[in-house]
Amino acid sequence: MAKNKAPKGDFTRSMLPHNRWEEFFDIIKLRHQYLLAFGGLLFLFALPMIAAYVVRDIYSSSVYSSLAAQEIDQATASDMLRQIAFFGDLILIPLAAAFSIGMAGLGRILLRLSWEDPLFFWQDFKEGIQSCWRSYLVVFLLLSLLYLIDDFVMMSPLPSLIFNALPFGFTAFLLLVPFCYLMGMDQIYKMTFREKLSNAFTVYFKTPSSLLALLFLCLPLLLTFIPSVTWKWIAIAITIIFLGPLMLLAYQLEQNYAFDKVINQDYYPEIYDKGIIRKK
Amino acid sequence: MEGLLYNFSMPKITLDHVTVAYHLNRNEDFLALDGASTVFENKAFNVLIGPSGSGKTTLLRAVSGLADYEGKIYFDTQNMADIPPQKRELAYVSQGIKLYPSMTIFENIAFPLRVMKLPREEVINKVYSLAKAFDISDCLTRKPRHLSEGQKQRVAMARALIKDPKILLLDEPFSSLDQLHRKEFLDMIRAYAAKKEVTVVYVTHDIKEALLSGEHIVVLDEGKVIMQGNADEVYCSSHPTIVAMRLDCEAVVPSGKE
Repeated sequence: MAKNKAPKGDFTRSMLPHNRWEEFFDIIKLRHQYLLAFGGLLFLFALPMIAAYVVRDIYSSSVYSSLAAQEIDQATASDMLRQIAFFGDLILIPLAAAFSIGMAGLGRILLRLSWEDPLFFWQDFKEGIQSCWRSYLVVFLLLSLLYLIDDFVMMSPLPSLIFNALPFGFTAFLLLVPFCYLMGMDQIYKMTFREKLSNAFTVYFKTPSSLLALLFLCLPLLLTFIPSVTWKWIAIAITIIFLGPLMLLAYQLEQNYAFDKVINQDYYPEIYDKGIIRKK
Repeated sequence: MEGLLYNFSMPKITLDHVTVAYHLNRNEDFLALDGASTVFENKAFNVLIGPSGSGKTTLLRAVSGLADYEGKIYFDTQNMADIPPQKRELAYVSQGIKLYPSMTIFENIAFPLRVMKLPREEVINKVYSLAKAFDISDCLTRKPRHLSEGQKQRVAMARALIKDPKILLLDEPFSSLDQLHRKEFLDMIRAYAAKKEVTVVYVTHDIKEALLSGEHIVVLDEGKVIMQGNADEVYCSSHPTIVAMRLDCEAVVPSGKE
């Protein structure tokens, strides 16, 4: 016997997401079209950097080919690779600045999504850029400069690999998370840059899990180990468009958790647990 | 002036010998409205009642400018003949709920304002206040498929009222709901309309509902207005159509009667 569909009951408050995991999947389910648009914009702003990396990869692989064909010796090849890396990183600085502008707008969209707020996609994107571009620009310029130094030291002939990795470790473990928090804070709080920076470090030290979250965000970097240049960049492009929005959303929710725990609970109760309805 | 909305401070709707004909075939026309003349009082909850096929929907379509008509329709003293539907400052809610399935409830309600490109804060404030009035605040992030029929109907109503219309035309919008929910809805609309001073024309074929809710009742049959007045006058009428409708329902008690 054919079964009749039961009439749908009222939607109630208790059916809203109760925790951040539920909220994450809820956003994917209900607002996937915005996440796709987000991925498209993310890719668009990342495109100049991707292009610079592709060119760098092509130059590097030609050096490796010459080395394999014994047209150049090991020392010359290392020197050439160092030069390619240095100039590649140098070009990356203005490109990262351009990327930061897009990220300021996208950061606002992420915040709206994570708070389950009404989203006016282009208006929010524009407002995000207008109000936060300065802090994003400073952070991205600093990070790209640090990347250049780290890369330079990494490729320099030093007595131990530990020395090579030291600046990189310093950047990754001490600066990266607070810098991300600083950008996130700029979307929410009205404070001076110095206050935000100091609060960002406080939040970082009080929420150790944030480093794990950032490491998770860096997972797609593993794709750079794909040997084929073509496949590597196809995989990276697909990851940025489809996986990028999801990973950034997850990271935004983690940030919201950290801000709630350290700041909002005491100082901004009106935005504490925004977007979720805790079970009583 | 292009783009200007006509501002009716106290919209009384007057129909003066309005005729609407539907073309059936080469030689035959069907008169859905046949010289109907009536007045819908300003800022009142007017009820339009009549048996099926009496021309209730056609009358609303003529008032809203969606149907061509002969005769005259006035909002206050303004003849509406040349005024297009989008400039009439009215909202029309029909039986079928037509919400955009891919939009959230917030986006559905906000849609008319988004088209007008109003500032973000203004849109949000208006949607939140209507959502509160219609008790759908918790559903704003959901999509229509998550809501019950009753909630969808509230959303449709909130969307109709988002542009603060002066006139609200309701064409049996609650016909799919049970009596209890219908009453709840009518009370909600009446409260909102009274607060915002909106002229409501509510179409129903249920005389009991009409007598209980209408401040001013217009009875339509075969395209003609056969009677108009308050609940008591309609209840006491001996017109055969009204008697037949009254006999259809049991224990009809007009408003204010013991």
